[in-house]
Amino acid sequence: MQEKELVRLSREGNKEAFSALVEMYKTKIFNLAFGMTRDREVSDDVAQDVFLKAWMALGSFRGESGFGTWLYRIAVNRVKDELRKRKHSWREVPLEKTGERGIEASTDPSPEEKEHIEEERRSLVHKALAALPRKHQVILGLREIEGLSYEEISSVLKLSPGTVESRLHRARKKLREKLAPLLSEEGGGHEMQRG
Amino acid sequence: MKCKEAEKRLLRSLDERLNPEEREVLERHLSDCPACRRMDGEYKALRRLLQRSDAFGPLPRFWERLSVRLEDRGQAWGQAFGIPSLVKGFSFGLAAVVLAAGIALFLPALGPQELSQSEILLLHDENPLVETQRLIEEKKLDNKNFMLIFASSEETVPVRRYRP
Repeated sequence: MQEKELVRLSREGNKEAFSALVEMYKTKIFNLAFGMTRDREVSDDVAQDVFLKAWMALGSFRGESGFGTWLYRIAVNRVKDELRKRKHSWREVPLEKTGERGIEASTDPSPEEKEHIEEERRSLVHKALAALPRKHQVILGLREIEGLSYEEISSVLKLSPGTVESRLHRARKKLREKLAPLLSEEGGGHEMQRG
Repeated sequence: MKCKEAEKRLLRSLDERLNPEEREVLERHLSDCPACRRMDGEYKALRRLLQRSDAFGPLPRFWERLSVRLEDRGQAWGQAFGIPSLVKGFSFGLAAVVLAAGIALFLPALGPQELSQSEILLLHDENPLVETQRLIEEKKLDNKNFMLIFASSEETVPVRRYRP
């Protein structure tokens, strides 16, 4: 059944249709939350809340944007609330003192080591992500984790595509800056050449 | 091309937003500039690590758990959100009409008010209790009855009340 038809039936209170929509979007919404919170239970709660809110607000959904865009908008607001709640505990993590390895692999590791290093790197990147301003976390989540296009992001966040681009670039730069001390530990001084 | 411009293009190239010419210029710069090459690698690595973070999905029995919450909320809200919007609109309309009627009934009338005889006497600085006193003191039952009948049929005068 088409998404539009599922939405129409859900608006009439058809839970079966709504469960099909939940099935279509639950992993995406979960991943968006997980990409930013790194907590599986919290992300599950967030996803549950998003669908509950969507069910309750379906009457006000006029279909001007796609259902997915509308759902992402609810999710972004819910995730922002979650980040606001956890702001203090997250921002106090000094990235330089994590004792984790840099982003570049040094030698030729075994498969187990490789897996371990990869997990450490991921954790490191997410700590840096958590230390970014919320608007940068959100835009990186939508672009890098969810893979939304500029146009989709601009619709979810109600920003012009130009603003999406500049904000995304700034967010990526800041994330790279946050990781710079660890990158240079790997012998990777990457000062830009004056051209 | 300067490194600053190269970084800008590099970020755009991550989203495949470069035309072939721009891409070619960037490629040329990267082949000549080790710092930008390294930067390119770092941006790509960051992106890969962010993208690979979504290894799992929500916890088991997601719909079952959600369904219970929908049910609870539906009961709490009188199934308000399960009702089609047309019916919902009608219900709200009906509720608004009933509310308006209730307010109209209980609000004091805004038109001219009728004054009682006692109020008229008070308005003319006369004691309204004189008549009542006479009625109480009347010994003859017939007279008393007549006085009561006349008192109850006394005219009332429509006057706009004074509102402080």
